[in-house]
Amino acid sequence: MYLSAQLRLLSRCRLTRHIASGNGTHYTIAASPATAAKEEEEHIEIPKRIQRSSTDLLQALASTVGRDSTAPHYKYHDDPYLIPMSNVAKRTYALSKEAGRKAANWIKEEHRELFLHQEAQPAIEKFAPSMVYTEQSDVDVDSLQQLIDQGELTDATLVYNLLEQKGVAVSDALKQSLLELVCFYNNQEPLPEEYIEERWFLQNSRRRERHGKTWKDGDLAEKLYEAIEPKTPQSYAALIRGMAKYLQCERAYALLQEANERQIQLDTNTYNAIIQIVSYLKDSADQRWQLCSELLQQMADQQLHPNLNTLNALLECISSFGNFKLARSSALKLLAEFKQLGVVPSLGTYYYLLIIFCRERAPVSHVIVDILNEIGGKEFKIQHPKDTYFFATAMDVCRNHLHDKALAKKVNDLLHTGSNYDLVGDSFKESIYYRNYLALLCQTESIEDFMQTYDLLVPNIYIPEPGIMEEILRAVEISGAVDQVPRIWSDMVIFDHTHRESLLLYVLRIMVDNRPNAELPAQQQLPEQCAKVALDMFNKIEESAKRIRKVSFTGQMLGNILTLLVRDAGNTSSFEKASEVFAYIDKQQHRIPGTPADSALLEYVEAAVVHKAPTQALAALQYAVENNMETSALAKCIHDGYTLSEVHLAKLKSLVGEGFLEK
Amino acid sequence: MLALRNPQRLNIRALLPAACKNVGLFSYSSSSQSKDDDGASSSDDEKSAKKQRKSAEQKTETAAQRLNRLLGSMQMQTTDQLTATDFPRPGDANRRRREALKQDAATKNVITAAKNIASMLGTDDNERKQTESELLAKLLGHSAEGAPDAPQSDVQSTTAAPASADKELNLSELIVGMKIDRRQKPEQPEQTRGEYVRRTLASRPKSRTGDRTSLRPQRHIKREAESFSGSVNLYGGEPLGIFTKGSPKLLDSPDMLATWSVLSARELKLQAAHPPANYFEQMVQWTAQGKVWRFPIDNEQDMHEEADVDFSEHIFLEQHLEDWCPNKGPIRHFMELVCVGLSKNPYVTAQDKKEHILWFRDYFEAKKDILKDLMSKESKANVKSITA
Repeated sequence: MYLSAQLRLLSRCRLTRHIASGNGTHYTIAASPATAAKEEEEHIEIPKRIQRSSTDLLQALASTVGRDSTAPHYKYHDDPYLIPMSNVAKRTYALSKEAGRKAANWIKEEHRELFLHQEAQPAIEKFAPSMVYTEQSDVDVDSLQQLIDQGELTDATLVYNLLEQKGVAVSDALKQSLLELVCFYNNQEPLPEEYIEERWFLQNSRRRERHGKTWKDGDLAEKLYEAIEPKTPQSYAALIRGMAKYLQCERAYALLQEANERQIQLDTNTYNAIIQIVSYLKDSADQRWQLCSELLQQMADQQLHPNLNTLNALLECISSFGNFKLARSSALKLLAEFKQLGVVPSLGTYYYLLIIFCRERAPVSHVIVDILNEIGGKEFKIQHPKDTYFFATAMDVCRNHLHDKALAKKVNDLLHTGSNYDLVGDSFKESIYYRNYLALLCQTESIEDFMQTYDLLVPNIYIPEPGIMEEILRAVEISGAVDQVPRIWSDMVIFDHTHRESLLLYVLRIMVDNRPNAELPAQQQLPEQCAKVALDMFNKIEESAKRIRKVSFTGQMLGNILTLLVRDAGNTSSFEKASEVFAYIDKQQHRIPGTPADSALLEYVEAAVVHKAPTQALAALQYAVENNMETSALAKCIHDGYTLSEVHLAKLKSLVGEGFLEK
Repeated sequence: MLALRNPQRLNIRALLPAACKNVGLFSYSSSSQSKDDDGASSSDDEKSAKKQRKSAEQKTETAAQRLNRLLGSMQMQTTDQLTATDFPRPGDANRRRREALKQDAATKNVITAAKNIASMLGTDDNERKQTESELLAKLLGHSAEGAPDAPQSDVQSTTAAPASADKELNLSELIVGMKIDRRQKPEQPEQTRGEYVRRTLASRPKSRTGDRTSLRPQRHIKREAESFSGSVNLYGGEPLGIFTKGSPKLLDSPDMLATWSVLSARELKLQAAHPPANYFEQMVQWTAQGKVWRFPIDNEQDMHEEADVDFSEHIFLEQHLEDWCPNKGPIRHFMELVCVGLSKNPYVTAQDKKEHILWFRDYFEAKKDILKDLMSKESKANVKSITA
């Protein structure tokens, strides 16, 4: 109301265009006609309305929200107890949420009578039970057309069969559409579009997918193909593409040759489908390359303009060449050719280049530098299915092939340019990407710089696997950054790495080998923290005895724990704990393989001297004697440290013999 | 080289106890082998190694050497994870010590034997040391496989002195500001005997266990050594010439399969679809799936049937009264109320509203007689009441 009133006012006044110091245009209501008079003739250009789709506004809003690395992903329930803290938990929580959606959907379909009411006005069709087609349904050609448009494969085939039974004539165009639908999915219901989490986690279990032939011979697709008379180029194309997609290679190629003999004009994408399976048709690299050239020649003869898919299909074929020199030279030829043809490569093209140039058994190649120079700072949209493989592979090349930190950072920058993150692939590829990134950084960066990246990524974006944790610990060990250990330990506890014996030993060794310097103010808390870590570890291992994946103590491990507890000198309770740990060692000595290091016992005895606990010291000595360890230093320490009572002195003598005191 | 060594390894181990007595035989076999080894390849290496050694002796200790020493000692500590085979048990500590003593004596014998051989073979002081260390490395390396406990004590005794020196080296001091290239094992310029033996021993068990972490870097060394292929000019190659030669006319080839291209576009979009990362993306997803009303919210959204009907037909319904309804009276009054009610109802179509009104017309038409009757009676009663 207010707005329309204003507008009416505007029309009555004179609208003038006022250019204010070149900053832009302002529309003002002219106060006095005199100033406005000379600008009167100026033409006002009202911009054309831009048609926006229903999601444009939302997408613009969404693009203003960045990723908050301190918060878990949006899909997880916003509750501290339900924040996933390991890779398994991430997967489980996300998939359980989706399982809930599936269950709701199932109820909606199963009890359709409960959902017939329509609350919303206009009605939301998605919430209504979906149409069910049975043998008795009354169907017509329109409903078949509709089902094909929606991509409902099962229902479409059912309706088609019903129409056949009833003798209703189906037009050839509709048959062709159905043939394409059936060929595309190989007459198998695809994963519903809305199960986005399932798709996100799917690849983990489906890596060995494309290997064998999965095309259903003599199935509906071929029957439909038979039913179309006379054969059109479209029907040939559909069947060839379907067979090529599901690796019925020989027949697809035979069909292509048949089409060529009958002078049937096919299109570029059909040729692309055949080029993609060249590596299944021929065995040696030379034969494959020859066949590719022949196919390209045929395309040129038919005046077909090759496209991006042609380029990528060719590169895929080249990447299967064993001979890396041939592979490299032919890939470069192709790139030059397609550059002249004006085909713009996608990320998938660069992915293939990487796997062609950076092989394990070929000389090191720096092709990734050139690729990054080419595409750095650009934004990409998905154009080819393999586009999502680029980032994981590029990071793998940075780490394993070139070992170059600067390149890795460039790749990471590219990933975070614009909406390129959409092309990271799925959870599997994302974790490969970050695994390589972190492993490379922790080998090449100083520990302080590395920990900044670590803080950014862990745990919400990426959770390190035990192997990467070991790399990180190695980096910590090399730089002697014992002050990072308590933090990393708490992460390890959260990520459930505490049942890995190698990791436990590593943590202990770092803490024992790098004795904190009490002089430095930054390290004053460390002995206490280390003692806590050690005690925590002791408890964890003790608890784990009840579980399936248990870790067993070794003498050395316990010795290290003992040392760390003892080093926390300012705290009397730590010494008590140390005594408990030692009592455990003493009591269980037949069950624990190995003995603590000599130095560990010595440090314990020294601490016992400080805390005036001769009984513990003598117990340690006794243990040492029983296990044939180095005793003289211990005995000397005890003898010098205390003024021993008669009883203790007698015990000392009985343990190490008279001879010792004479020295 | 390795294949050559393998049969010899057995030989030497069998000869080990006899070696110190039967020096002649032993020296024969080992010298023949060292000829095989060094014949062509290592003569240059040896010279350069000698040079390096000399220069190293002149200087006291460079920083790089200190670092190497440190890294060398670090390497050994990494092998502390116990495997099932060499798990120490509490009872066998005693036995171990005895064995170690025995082994020690044996090692001493072996060392003197090696010294003898070296003095027989070489005249030069350096050369003698070199031979001796090589022999020892071989011998002790084998005994490491034979009895896993023995070299540990050996290593401890040999490392005892440098280890104490290591403590003085502050690790962080050394490493601050340095980049550590961990792919390559540092080349050791100095070749003291102890160092050489120790390093060989340290690297042995590693390669034996063959875990991946130790294998990887080795592979890197091999590859790094090959030629640097330089940058690649991506588009500078010679074109293939199939499409570009003679510039044949190429026509754009749109996808001839409509349904297929729709499906593949949809599948491609799904490849790049991620779980929504904020509420707006969630809304985008729901909108795309048709689970919420579309933006911008619009009163006339999804108004399929009534899209062509003007609002006036919904609201101004009196027009349907004009040709049958009396201009005044109770029926007119009633019908006007019906029109008001209908004009406010958004749930029925204009056609339904019209039919609703027309139903009343037919109804009143059917009841005309009764109504007339009633009205005449009422008017009479009124007249009566007025007159009365």
